Amino acid sequence: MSTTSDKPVLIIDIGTTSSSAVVVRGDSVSLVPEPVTGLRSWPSAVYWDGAQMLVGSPAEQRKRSDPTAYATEFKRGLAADTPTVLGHRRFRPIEQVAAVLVALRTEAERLHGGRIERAVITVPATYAPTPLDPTAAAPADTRRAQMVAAGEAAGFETVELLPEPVAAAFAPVAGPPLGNGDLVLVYDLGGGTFDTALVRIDERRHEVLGHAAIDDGGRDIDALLAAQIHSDGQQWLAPLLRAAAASPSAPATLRLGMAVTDFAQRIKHRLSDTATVEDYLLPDVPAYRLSRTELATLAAPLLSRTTQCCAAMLDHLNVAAHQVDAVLLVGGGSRMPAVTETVRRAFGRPIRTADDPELATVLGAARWLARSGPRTLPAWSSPERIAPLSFGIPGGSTRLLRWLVRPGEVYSAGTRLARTRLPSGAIWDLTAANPGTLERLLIQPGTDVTSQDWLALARY
Amino acid sequence: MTDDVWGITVSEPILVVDLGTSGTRAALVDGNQVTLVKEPGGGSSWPSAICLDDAGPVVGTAAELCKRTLPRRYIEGPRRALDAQASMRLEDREISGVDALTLFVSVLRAEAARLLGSPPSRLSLAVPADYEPGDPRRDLMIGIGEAAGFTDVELLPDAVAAALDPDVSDNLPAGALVLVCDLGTNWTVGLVQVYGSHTTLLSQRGNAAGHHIDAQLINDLRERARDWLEPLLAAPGDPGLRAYYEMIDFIRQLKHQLSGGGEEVVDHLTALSPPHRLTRDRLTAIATPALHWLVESCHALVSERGLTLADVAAVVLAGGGARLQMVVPGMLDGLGFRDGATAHPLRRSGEPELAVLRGAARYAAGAAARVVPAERPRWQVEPLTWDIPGGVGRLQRWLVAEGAPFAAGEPVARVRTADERVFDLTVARSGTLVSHRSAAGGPVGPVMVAGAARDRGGMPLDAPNRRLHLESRGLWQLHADRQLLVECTRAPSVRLRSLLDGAVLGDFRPEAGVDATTRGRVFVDPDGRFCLVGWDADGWFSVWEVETGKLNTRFRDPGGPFKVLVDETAWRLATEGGSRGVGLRRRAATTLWDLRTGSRLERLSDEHWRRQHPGFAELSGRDGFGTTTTSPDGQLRADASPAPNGDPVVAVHDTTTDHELFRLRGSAGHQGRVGFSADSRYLLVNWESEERSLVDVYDV
Repeated sequence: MSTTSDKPVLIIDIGTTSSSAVVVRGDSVSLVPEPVTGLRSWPSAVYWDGAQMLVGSPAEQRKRSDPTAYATEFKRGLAADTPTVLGHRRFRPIEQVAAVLVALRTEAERLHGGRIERAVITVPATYAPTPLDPTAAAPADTRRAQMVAAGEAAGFETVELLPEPVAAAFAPVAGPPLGNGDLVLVYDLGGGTFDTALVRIDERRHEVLGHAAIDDGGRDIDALLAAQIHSDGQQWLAPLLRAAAASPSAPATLRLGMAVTDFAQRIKHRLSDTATVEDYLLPDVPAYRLSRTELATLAAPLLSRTTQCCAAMLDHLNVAAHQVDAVLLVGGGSRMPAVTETVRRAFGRPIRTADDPELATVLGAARWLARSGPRTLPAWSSPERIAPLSFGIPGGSTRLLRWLVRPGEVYSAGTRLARTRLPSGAIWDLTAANPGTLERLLIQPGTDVTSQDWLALARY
Repeated sequence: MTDDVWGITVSEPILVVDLGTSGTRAALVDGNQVTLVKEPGGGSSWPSAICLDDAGPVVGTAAELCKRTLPRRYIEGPRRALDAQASMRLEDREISGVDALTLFVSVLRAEAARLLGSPPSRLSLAVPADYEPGDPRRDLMIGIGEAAGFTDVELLPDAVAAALDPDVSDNLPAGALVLVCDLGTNWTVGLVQVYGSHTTLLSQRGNAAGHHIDAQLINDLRERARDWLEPLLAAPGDPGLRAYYEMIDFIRQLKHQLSGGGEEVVDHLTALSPPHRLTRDRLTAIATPALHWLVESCHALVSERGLTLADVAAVVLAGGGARLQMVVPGMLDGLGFRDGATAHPLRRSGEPELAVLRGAARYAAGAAARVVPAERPRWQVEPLTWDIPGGVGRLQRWLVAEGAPFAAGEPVARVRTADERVFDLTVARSGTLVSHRSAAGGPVGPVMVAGAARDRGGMPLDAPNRRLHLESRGLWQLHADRQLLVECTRAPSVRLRSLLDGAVLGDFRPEAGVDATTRGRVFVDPDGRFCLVGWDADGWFSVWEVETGKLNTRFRDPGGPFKVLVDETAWRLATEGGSRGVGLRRRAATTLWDLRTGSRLERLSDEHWRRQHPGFAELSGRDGFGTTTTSPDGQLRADASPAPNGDPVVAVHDTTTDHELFRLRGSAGHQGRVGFSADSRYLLVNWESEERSLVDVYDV
C-alpha cells in the first residue's frame, strides 16, 4: 500500500548548471533524457522568448540569438531572491527553477504515460532545515521552503526534499557497496558549486554529520581555460573579435565569448579520456592544443580550495582524515583525472567513484526512495476502549511540569497523573476521575496546555 | 500534603520561603503541620545577607556577624540584585542575584533537611507582587529553587500570601476583596480576591518608600553628626565600609525601638560617639509622604475597578513597616475608617513581618486540594493517534474535513517530517472524523491525535455519563435558547438554572398577589420575555415579568375551577371549563383574556373552540422539551415513549443509520420529555409525575 511502490515518483536533481531526473515506479527506475538532444543531463538554463519559457538545450541554442533573454545558474539566486530581467520581464529565481521543474515533469509524464503527482527534489546540504518550533523566528534561510513551493508550482501534489550528499551516498559506486557505519566524505564538484559533506552510512537512512560548500565549480575551470585560450590565441582571436563588433557588449562579442567558453568545456571533457587534445574553435583558425598536465596546472588552485574546504569541515567536526573510511567523488567535475589525484594526495584515503558522477545524486535519490520506507502512516489502534484525558484547567492554561505516572501504569480514581504550574506560579496536580491504565502520553513536559487539549490516552 | 497512590499515603513536605529584601522567613509544611525554619540562633527571620567566609558562604545572622571582620565579602539584600536583574560585587568577583539567592535557599533547604531527616523536594516561594505573570524574573525564581535542589517550585505572589494570613483573614467570605499593604523595603499595595486556592492578585502598585525612609533617617544622622561621622565613613579600606554598615544597623535599630512606643529614642552609634536622637515627630514627618502614597494607592486600586472601600472586606497591613507607629492611625484617617471605629476592616497581626510566610504556609497546607480531576471522557469520540517518524513534523493539510466520513485506508491528512519526507496518515477502519485537533501548517509530534466517531459496531449499548440530576416539586421547562432550564415551582416562583451545573442564575419570587393556593406557569411573551402567569383559588390572575419582577397585569375570572391555556403569539389567556350559570343550565364555557391589558375579550361556548384558536396550549410552546426531538447538529434523535407495560423509556438513535444507541428508563408513573442543549453536547430528559419533576442531563 505504500505510495512509493505503486505510484510514480519523479526524482529531480536540479543543479546550478545542469539538472537530471528519473521516474521511479516500483522497482523500475527510468531516466528522463532531454527530448531535443537526448542528453542525460538537462542544462539548467532558461530563455524567455517573449511568450514562453524555453528550458534546457532549446534555451542554450537560443541564447546566441538574444543573450539577454537567457539565464543559467539562477539556483544561486534563491538565497537572495532577487529577480532578474529576461527579455522585458522580471523573473524570480523560484520561477526559473519552477520552469525547469515543469519541463522535467512534462517530459517525464510524456515518457511515463500518466500523471506524476509526487516529486523528490534533492537540495544542497547547506540549505538550512525549516524550523518546526512554532516560537522560532521566521527562518533566515527559505531555500528549502522555496524549493517545495517551486515543486508545488510545477504541479506536484507532494514534494519531498533530500540533501544531495545523502542521495549521492546511496548512488551506485564502482566496486563493493559502501559499508554500514562507514564515514564517507562526499566530494561533489558540480558545474557551479563545490559541496562536501561527511555522511555516516546506514542501511536505510544516512546521517549527514556536517557539510560545507564553496562557490567554485567546473564552470570556473572552463572560465580559466577560456581565458587561457583567449591569451594563447590572441593572434588569431583579436582580429576576429574586432571584426565581430564595434563594442564589447554587442551580441556578436557575447556570442564569440560563449563560443570560446563552450570550446573550453569541450576540451576539458575530452581530456578526461585522453592525455592530449587538439581542437579547432572555428574551421579556419589554427588548432588549439592542451595536455592533461596543463589543465591540471590550470585547475590546481581551484582544486586545492575544494580540499581545503573538506579539511576545514572535518576539522570543525573534530574528525581526523584517517577516520574517514572513503572519499566518494561525484558531480561532473570529478571526471577530471586531476581531481582524483588531488583528493588522494590531500587525504590519503580510499577513493570511491560513482558509476555515473553526473547522475550520482539523482540515481542515489532513487535508491534512497526505495529504502526510506512507505509513506503511509496507519493510525495506532487498540482493541480496548481508549479515551483521551483532558482537564478543566483553572484559568484555562497551565504548563505541564512532569508526568507522575508512566504509560502502562494502572491508576485508581483520584491518583495524581501529572503536575502542572499555572501562569500565576501555583502548582496544581491533575488527577484521574475514574480508574484506568495510562496508555500513551500526548504532551511533553514543559508544554503549555489548555482545557481543550488531550494530554494523554487512557484505557478504561 | 498527602498523596494517595494505591492506598499508600505518601507525605510531601513543602518548604515555604519568603525571600524578603532585608529579611527572609521560611517554614516547613507537612500536611497540616507548620514548623518555622528558624535561624541557628533561634530567630524567626533570617537577615537577607550573605558573607563569603574563608570556609565558604554563610547566610543570615552568621553573615551579619562576619561583616565586621570581612566587610568586603558581605552583601545585603541579594533580592535587590534580582529585582534589578543586575549583579553584585563580592570582594573581587561578581555574583549574580540568582547565584546569591540560590546559595541562600540551599542553606534553608539544608536546615529543613535537618529538621525533616531528608531534604524536601517541593518549594513554595513568595514572590514580589510586581513580578507579574510573564515577567522573566519569575523564571529566575523558579531556576533558583531548582538550582537549590528542589524538584517542584511553586510561586505565590506575596500579596496573595499576606491576604491568606490566618491571623488577619480568617472567616472572610469566599470572593471577598482584600487590600494588602505590604510595607517592607519596598511598599506595595495589592488588591486580592480571596477564594481559597483560587485567591488571585487583581492589581498592584509599588514604591520604594521603606528604602526612602531609611535613607532620610541616615541623611539626618549624617547631617547632624557630620564632624565625627564623616571621618569614620571616609576612612579608606575596611574601616570605612565597616562604619557604613554600622551606621545602617544603628538607624534601623533606632527606628525599631521607636516602633515599640514612646516619643523619642536616644542611642550611641559607637561607645565613643555622641548620642543621636530620633523623635516620633521626625519619623512621622519622614513617613508622611509614603503614607499619603499608601492611602492614595488603596483608593486608586479599588476605584480602578469601579468599587469603593465599602466593597473591601479587609485592609491588611503586613511587613515590618506596619510596625511604624503612625501607620495604623494614618491609614484609619486616610481611608475614612475613624467614624465606625469598632468595625473597621483594617487589620494588622502581631508580627506583620511573618504575615506573608503564615499565609504562604496556609496556602501550602492546602496543596493537596489543588487538583484538577480529569473530565469524564466523551464516550462517543475515539482518539486516533499517529507516531510521527523522527518525532516532529508539520501538518501540511487535512484531506478529510471535520464531520466528514473517511474510508478504510484513505489518507485523512498529510504530514511533512523534519527530514522533508511527506506521509499520508490513514486509519485502518472507515469512520467519521469528528475533530482535527491540530491545525494545518502547525507543528505536530511526536504523537499526533485526532478524534473519530467511535465505531459502535462491537460496543455494547450503554448510556452516556449523567452529568446532572435536578429535582423539583414544580415544573421544568427548557428555555427556547436551549442554554437554560426554567424551574417553575408551586410557590410559585421561577428559577433560571444553568444546564451545565444546575447553578441558579436567576431567581424570581413574587412578593405580593400570591397565597397558598396560587399556581403558576412560565410563558414567553411576544417580545421574548419570560412571564410568570399565576392564578389562585379565587380566580385572580397575575402576570409578572420574571427578569424585572414587574407585575404587568392582574385580573379576575370568578368562574373556576378551570384549565388555563395561553396563546404566546397573540398573548392571550383562556380559562376553559369554568362554570357558567347555575343549576341545570350549568355548562362549560371558555373565556379569552388579553394578557397585556387584563381585559376580557370573548366568551366561547363551543367545546371545539381550540379549532378556531390553535395557538393556545397548557405549556409554553417555546419549551425546548418535547416527546421527540433531534439534536441541533442533526446527529441524534431522542424519543420519549409512554410506557404501555410499565416503565417509561427514552430511546436515542443515530439519525444517519437509525441505529438505537442507548435507552434510558424512567420510574413508573412518570412521563418523559426530551431536549438537547444548543451545542448538541447534552441530552436533557425531563421525567414528570404528580409529585415531582426531574431533569437529568447527559453528556452526549
